[in-house]
Amino acid sequence: MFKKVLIANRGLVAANCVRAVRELGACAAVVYETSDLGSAAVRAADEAIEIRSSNGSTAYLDVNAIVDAAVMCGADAVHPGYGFLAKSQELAHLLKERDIAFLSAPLFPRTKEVAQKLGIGVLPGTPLLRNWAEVESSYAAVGFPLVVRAVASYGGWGHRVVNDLEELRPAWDHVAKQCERHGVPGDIVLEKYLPDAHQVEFPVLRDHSGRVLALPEFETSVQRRFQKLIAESPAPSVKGALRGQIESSIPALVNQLGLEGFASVVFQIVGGEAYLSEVDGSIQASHSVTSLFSGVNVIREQVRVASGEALRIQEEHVQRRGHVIGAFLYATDPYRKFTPSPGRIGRFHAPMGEGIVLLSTVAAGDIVSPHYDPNIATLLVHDSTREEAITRMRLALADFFVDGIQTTLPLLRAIVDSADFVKVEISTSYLFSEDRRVQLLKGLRNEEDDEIAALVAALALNTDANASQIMESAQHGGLLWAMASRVLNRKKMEF
Amino acid sequence: MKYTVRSSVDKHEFQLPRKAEFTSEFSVEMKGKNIAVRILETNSDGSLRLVMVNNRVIPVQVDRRGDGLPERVYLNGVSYRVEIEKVESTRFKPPATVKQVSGQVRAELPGQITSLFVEVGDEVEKGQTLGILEAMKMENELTAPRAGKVRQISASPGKAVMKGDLILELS
Repeated sequence: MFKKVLIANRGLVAANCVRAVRELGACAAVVYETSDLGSAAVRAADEAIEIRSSNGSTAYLDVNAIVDAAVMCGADAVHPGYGFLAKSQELAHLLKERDIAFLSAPLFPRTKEVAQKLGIGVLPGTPLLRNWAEVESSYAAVGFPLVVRAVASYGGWGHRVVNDLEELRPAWDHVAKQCERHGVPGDIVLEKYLPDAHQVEFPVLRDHSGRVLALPEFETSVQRRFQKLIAESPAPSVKGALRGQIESSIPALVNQLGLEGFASVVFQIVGGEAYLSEVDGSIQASHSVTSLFSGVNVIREQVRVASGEALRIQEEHVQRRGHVIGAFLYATDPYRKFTPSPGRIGRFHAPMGEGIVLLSTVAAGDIVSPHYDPNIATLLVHDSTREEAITRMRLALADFFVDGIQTTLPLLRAIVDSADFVKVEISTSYLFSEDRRVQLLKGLRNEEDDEIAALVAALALNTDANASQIMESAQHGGLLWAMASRVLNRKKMEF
Repeated sequence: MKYTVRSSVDKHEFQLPRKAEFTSEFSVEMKGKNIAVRILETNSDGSLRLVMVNNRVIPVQVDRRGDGLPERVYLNGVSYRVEIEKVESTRFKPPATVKQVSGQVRAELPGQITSLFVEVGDEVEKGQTLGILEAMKMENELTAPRAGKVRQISASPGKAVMKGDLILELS
């Protein structure tokens, strides 16, 4: 086992990594920017190292700052969590030079080639493209619609759907610029876009001796422009013999790719056929679904295997317990086209109870920063069947109340309430259109509550005059005058 | 006091108790039905926080316009548009809605301008995408608040902006 692992991330993923490392008996160090000094990950860690940005952007993405911190604290491994760093070849290289392990698998540029030779269906796409000339000579083989995707893409970032040739250049420029701005390599691929596809991912561990352990798959079809909103396990889109077919193809694939550690093999499923799109070597927020469903702590096993220890878990230890659904809360406003909604959290009433697990590092009164990823919580429910898990999730989401900032909660409720979700008819493009978002949100309203809303609006105006000075003037000039002057005063104050 | 409140689907008329008789528990008649209302909690500024309506407890938030009148009510996080049309009284009238929409496009949150699609002198339509503001690793479209001609551009791609900074102005 490693002696000390430096966790180079923040928020929930950092806290989860800190715990996994400590559970293994290793020392967990974590980097932080000043504003995160009181965060859950920093509190849980054995050691916290401040990093400062040298270029005005966040230090969490500053590869050199991370390497310096690792060297300074004497870490023998760095866990990047998920995100840009996890896909940084530069960081991987710098750490290797210093003989520090990097807990994220490298990119596997030959994935599709190897898969095809093994008879696995692959999503048509190009190899890594580095300039426009290469794009021009290869898009025709993929065909429209296609996705321009940065290899370092994650969480809704670094993708663009392209419907025709005219859109290709702007999309390419856009993604290339995004890579540049975030300091990640401009490795970009073009891939066939299948709007009707469902997305399913198969997590897998492989140790140094070549032993492979495939974990149960999970589905992430419910996304908004590539940002995942819901994950569930087992994947309802994988039916009949398909699961066995895919599962049996994975050991040979990861053996040939030479995976050491952990990865997810990602498939697009359409018309009962599975097409491999990538092998993603980093952990993700959705893996918490796998952990709850299978009983295997994915991060902990990833660290164990990466440290050179043999896989301890046997096939028979991997459970498949009923059904698990995970919903991701982001601090973005679904009523305003998902505008980020940073700010101070007012109330944070989380659902609790049997079969409900809330993963979050925020609480009432905390500030959600505009500078970082907007994921503030993951709500997991567990039940015996998918139908029961859906009902449990529906009620849990209805009990979940956050104010002060806006969150994706209303949209999550609308999705889980929808017949399309129940019938597994939500494909990855479902939430692409704004009309769909508006329709879903409208569906949450009802006539009775419309009346109550009107009542509350009037009540808000009415009770406003409750303030003592207003009461005083109300006695002199009458209540209505007081209300009017209050309104006028407010207007003056604000303009 | 008689209130007329318009929502996005209906118009509601009802009486609330006069201030003098106001208690935190009362009954309101709406469309021939009686609705039992209790105010359970208010925020420190006196705004509503938790109400009970017909034995159902509902966390509420009220967003107000610049002039202080409620314009959006969230019931357990679900948004309803509202407009207080009339409060029956001889002395109080809600200020008329401001119809003049400002042509200023400001940053709604801190972030970085990553693209601008218009130049000074361009004619734009209401709702047209003018540029992209990136924050929290998300892209946010800057849209035209109304039709007009771009008079001035105060930000450039790559520039960091703070909440409220002027990005461009329509004439």
